[in-house]
Amino acid sequence: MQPQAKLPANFWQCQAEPAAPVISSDADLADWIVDLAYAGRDCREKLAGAKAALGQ
Amino acid sequence: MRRVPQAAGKLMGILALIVSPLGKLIGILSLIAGVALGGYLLLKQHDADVLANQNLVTQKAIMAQQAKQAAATIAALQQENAQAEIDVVASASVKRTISNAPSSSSCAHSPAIGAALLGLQQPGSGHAAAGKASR
Repeated sequence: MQPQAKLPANFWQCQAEPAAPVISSDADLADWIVDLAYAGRDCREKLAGAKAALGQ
Repeated sequence: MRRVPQAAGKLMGILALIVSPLGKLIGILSLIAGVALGGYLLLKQHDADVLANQNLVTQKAIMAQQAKQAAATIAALQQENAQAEIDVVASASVKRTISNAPSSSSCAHSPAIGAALLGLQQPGSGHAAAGKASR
């Protein structure tokens, strides 16, 4: 019998996808790329954390 | 005075029944029934004990699993929080490097980036828009 796993909501809430901005310079574009990368990383880390907590 | 002979008569009757073949048969049947009932009750009690023991073992296993789960959850949360702090610092560091870089806009104003941004700003038709613009 496996007890029902309850994980904190933190694991299920990824950062929102950074909206495509109005770009006026390469720096704006680079900032947006960084935001995109870290939003994706945040979600992957939370998924990995949820898997670790569930022992998968 | 009459009651004593009557009681003695009853006692004699019972004794006669006990020593008679029918009495012996009743005695043997009663003995068998008693042994069977005793055995049944013993087995029933044994089954109840086994079931209670199994429930206890299951309950202990569940509690152990829950404790393990809670420990794994706490460890994962701590790991996630630590990683989030690292990410915030790393992101800020990269953005500082970006802001210190020489200003330019050739990439931002390129047709490919324009198409990508246009596509991403219009969810649902993003791939089509990007595809048309790049051809």
